[in-house]
Amino acid sequence: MSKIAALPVEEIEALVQDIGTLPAAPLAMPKQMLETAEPLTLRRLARAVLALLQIGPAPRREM
Amino acid sequence: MPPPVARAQARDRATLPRSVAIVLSLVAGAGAFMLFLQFGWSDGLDVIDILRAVLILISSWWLAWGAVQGLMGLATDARPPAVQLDGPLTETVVVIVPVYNEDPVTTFSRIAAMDESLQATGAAGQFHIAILSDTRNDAIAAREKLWFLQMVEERGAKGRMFYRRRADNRGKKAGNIEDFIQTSGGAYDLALILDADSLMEGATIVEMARRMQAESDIGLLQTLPVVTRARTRFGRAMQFSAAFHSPIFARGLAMMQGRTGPFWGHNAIVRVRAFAESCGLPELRGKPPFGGHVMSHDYVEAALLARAGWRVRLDDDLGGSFEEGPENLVDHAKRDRRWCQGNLQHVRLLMAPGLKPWSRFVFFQGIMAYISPLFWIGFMLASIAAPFFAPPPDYFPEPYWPFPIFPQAETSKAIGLAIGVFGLLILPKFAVALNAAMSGRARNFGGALRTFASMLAELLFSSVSAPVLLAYQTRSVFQVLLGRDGGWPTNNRGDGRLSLGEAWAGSHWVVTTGLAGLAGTWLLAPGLVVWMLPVLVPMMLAPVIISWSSRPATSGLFVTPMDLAESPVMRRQREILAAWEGNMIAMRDIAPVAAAGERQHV
Repeated sequence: MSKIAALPVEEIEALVQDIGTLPAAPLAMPKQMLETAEPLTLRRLARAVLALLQIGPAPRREM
Repeated sequence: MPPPVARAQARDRATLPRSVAIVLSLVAGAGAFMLFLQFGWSDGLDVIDILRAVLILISSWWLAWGAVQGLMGLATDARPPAVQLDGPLTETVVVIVPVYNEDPVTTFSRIAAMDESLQATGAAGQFHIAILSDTRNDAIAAREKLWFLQMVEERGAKGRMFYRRRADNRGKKAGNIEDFIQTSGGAYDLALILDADSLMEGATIVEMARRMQAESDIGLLQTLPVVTRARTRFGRAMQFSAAFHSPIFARGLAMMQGRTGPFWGHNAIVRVRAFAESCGLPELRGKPPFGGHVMSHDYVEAALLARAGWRVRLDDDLGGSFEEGPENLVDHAKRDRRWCQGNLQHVRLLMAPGLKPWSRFVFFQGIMAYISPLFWIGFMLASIAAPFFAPPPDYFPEPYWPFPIFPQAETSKAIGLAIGVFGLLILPKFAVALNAAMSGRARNFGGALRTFASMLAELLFSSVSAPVLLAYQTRSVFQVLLGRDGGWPTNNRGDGRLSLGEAWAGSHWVVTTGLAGLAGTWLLAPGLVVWMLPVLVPMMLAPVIISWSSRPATSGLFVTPMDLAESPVMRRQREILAAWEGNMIAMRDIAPVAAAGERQHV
């Protein structure tokens, strides 16, 4: 250990680059769909429950 | 997508255990609900009684759900899978070790020990090891590089051990792994994902890879890591509980999860292609704690693999899989704060398109695990408020009847309910102990008598510490609901000892809450004081409990199999660490930069 620890910082960096670099083999990792257009919120959940029990506010109607 | 033939062949056998568990837990919840309604009826049913009965229903159902899981785990044994690989392992495997401001000497000594153990299997040619650093502290990063070079030199591992440090740690651990897959994932068929404190036997790693090769529809295989190296009273009690109870509960969990099994984020192997195709995590809309990067990514990744048709399986028959746990209550609470935020964030994903229903239920379970104390607290507060809502007693309910009729005393029902709730908490533990004594499993824990004593001591300790932990958990839930992001603190892996002053600094608010609770109960509902004491006394004594339990364990209790027969990889890691720590002292005179980091960290 003492041999490696005595090396200058630049040399340690270069050695790590030389020895430690991972093999280059890219693989695509597409982002997944996790949220619906309107994500579930407590307000939406409460509204849905009230609507189910028919005790929520009456839906607005266009005149 | 997984191979269609394998997909068609594999059926989900979890329907029956799921149905049994749901029915039994609902029956228990409904029983508690009815019992409480009868109790409330005695002095006239009011809205507070109904509210309390509903809170009891939810809380009892949740307790029963956990109990049923444990009892189901007793109904079967850990068995290796029917399908075995004929022939040699041909798939290439990378062992991924994400690190984040960890002590490199300890972490890399684990890697060196695992590498040695892998070399001994004869299959090491298929394996690479990648250290993926997200360390933000430059002094620690400098030490990581030194110790990486040291390890490669010592192990002759040039070309099979790699190290890279990310410029930024976007996406935290999930982002770290994603970055690796996007740059180097194509080089490997399988990836074993570890934590910085993970330790695994080479033979276990090889067996996991063989099982993945044998069954091409498995996307992820999870082992059951055993908690090791605990030294404090708290740590030893948790370690015993994890070693003694967790395998049984995990087996019950696995039975119910079926093909959509658990992923706990480490000590698990994934099929790289499946993971790449299915598990790219987007940032959620909005800011943390509910928006931003997915914190508890493991549950989500398991759900996404299942959504894509891959099997996620827990193989609890595999030994040789270890991790370390927090050594005191405060560190436990810190880790739990992170988990709490991660699990509550899953409320955003409950309706994620295409998920298997059971994956949604797993998210719901995670959320319930953190909000369930709120139901108990709601019940206690409602009970204190109940006398103000109760109608005045009516001693002459019958018209024209000259004699008073006194309300029937229903205290026995309240006591019955309390016993039932307590029973749900302790029944599975007693059942596991009985099973261990009868099957001979108790020998691995120091014999039947000592195992039983350890189980009782753990039960006592967890009963005393539960109100303190629940206080922390409740605070975490409120913090998250109020929009406070807990961040991503480094795990504290020191000796864990806390002085009374340190414990007070971390828990004085628990003491204040306990005192306020006692005063409030005394003033508003003095009859309930006795019932509240088991919760309030531990809260008022929180600093004492925290400090006492953080001291080194000296009793002969809480023996685990690893105490009786240390695993070879654990022994080697201990030896390597001791040798390296000796070198470290010599090194301090030579490398001032690294030594500065050393002094800061050791």
